[in-house]
Amino acid sequence: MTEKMHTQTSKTSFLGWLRNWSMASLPWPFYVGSSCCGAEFLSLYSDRFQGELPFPVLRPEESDLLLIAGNISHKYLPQLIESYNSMLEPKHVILIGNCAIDGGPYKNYNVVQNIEDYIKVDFKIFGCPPSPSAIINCLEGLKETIIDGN
Amino acid sequence: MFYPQIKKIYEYLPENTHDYIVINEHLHDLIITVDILNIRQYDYNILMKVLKNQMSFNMLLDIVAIDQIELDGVVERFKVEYLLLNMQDHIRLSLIHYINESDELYSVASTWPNANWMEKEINELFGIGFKSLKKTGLFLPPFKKGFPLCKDFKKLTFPEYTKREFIVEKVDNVTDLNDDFEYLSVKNLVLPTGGIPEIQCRIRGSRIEDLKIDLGNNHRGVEKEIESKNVHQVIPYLERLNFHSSSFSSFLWCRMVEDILKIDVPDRAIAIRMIFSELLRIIEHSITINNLMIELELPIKSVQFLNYREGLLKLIESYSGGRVMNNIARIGGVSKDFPFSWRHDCLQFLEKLESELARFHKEIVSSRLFKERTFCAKISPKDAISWGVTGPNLRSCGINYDIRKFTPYDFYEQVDFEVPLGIHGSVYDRYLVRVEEIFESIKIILQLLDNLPLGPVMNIQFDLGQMKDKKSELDLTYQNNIELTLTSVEKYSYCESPAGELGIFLKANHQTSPYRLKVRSPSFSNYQILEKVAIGEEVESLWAIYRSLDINLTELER
Repeated sequence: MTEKMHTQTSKTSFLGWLRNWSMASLPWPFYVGSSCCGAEFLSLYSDRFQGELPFPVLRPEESDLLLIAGNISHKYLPQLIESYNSMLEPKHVILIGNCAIDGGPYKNYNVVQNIEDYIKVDFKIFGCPPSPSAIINCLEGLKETIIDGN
Repeated sequence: MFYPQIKKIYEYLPENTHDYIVINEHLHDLIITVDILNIRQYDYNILMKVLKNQMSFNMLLDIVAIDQIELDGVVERFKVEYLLLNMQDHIRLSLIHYINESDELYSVASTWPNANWMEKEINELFGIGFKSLKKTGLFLPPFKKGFPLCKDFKKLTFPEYTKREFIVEKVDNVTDLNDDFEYLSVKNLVLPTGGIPEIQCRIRGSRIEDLKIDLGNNHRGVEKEIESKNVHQVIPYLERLNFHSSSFSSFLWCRMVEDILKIDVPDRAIAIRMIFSELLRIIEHSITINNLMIELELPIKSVQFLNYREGLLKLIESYSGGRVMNNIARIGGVSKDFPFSWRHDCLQFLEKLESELARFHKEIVSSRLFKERTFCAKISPKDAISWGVTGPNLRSCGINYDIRKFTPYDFYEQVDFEVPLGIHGSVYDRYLVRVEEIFESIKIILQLLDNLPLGPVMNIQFDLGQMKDKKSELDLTYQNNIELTLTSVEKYSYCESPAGELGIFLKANHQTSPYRLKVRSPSFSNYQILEKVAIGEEVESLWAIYRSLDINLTELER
């Protein structure tokens, strides 16, 4: 049984696979929701999309998944970088919405256009704002990549 | 009308100031022009006191600055306009100052306390100086250079960020550290609704002694962005200001452009706009109540309010395809007519909502714990008016002021509804007023659905679907309608949004895009009163007070 699992995954050991599997089953998300995309998070807690998203943690030190929804301003950027640095390893980042990815419709003086220069990003969800089902699909994709060990 | 009465203002003022204060009337608007360079500060303060106390212009709505460098035949660089409201007679007045770059204005924060942030904002974005104003930023980081909303602004430069820089900045704030006091910087990231609030408070024991609000996490430069967009392209930017009730600002913008360019709107389109406005009012109120319940951490199932919102968003989705961004407003009408059986679905949902909410409301009101925890942070009516609080927060203090009743727009004159009022102005009263407003909104929607006018939903000139069929004939009008040119005009329009008075100030100059557009956000004044109200309250209830004020930071900082 263990050998079969070992061959199926790209991990060096069964324990490594087990760790990835457990991490994927229960991510501890930390939210930075500054605008419209953050409003779509609320929909995920209604009965229509019930139980798809775990409840957020309060401190970045306790989390391993950073969800950035909406634009990041130049005033907030240093705090975001600090939150990212203090997160648990291995950490994953999902950008939600066009504003977080490249500034979206706000190509001006106070919106950060290139967030990938500061932090490493795993997933991007395009849309203005993306629908809740797109966010759920992305979380499922994230689970698969964590189990695969990428 | 009111014009002869305002002449009385000269009786209260010293004689040497009469030459510097000129009263005009222009299209039912009162305008007072003040020669700020020659008037003394003492006389200026008297003028403000007289306007507030004798003339009862008791509320300062907004301060708008315009950079006039690209306008023809203008001597001074800046025009600064103070928008005042007389709540007795429902009259609006604009107080105008013309100044150059080197001149300074007098601060009015002693008369209207909510002028504090407005002056800071103008100082930061235009570089206009105010006497006795500390040069602290409101939205932008302190080390920026340049004034973004000036017309000759090119680019704002920021230094490279390092972790060390950030820590140094934070240490500066904790200089007041004492044995007795504890400095607490709180940020609310739990509920990602309406931006990232950041509050610094000094506490003794568990009571708040002093409070300072930090802004700037959500400033997006919308007003600068809009200056290069045409009339139709402005709509999505306005929709993204307040995303719980996004269509309010875009409906207001459409109404404003239609007034300026004298475009006829079909009755059915106006009725549809009203129906969606009221649906969105229910959405925003239920979100506010949901957030309040979560912050109070009471054993009450608040997911019910999220379900109401989800049901209403489903209705909007089946109408226009958009969810949070409604995509309904168009200049000359609305995007489309109701789909088949939409009205039936809407009626069915509202019936369910009314009965469920009534039951839930009864449950909450009978809870003693809820009453005890929320009977705090009282706003007195006098404070509310002088701080410029509007909307349900104002009505919860017992002041009967609703724009839909007193200066009605659309069909609000013809529908029957009541204005719910509170007594004490506490968190509990604010909750009660919001729940009652949901019931009133349902009443309005039912009346409108019963008496929906027949006819088209779009002015035929602007109907793109019609034009595609016979495009060759209408090619010219098609082009003209896409590139609508605004006439030279200066106008302030307003409506009653769920949070309070939402206004748009427009200065146009024979161009397709606005010369200057300023949004008067209700949260801008509603948030400032937290600095006064929260003092003396428990730290644990700080976020409950914040949520009860219904503050949307993206709309506030724009």
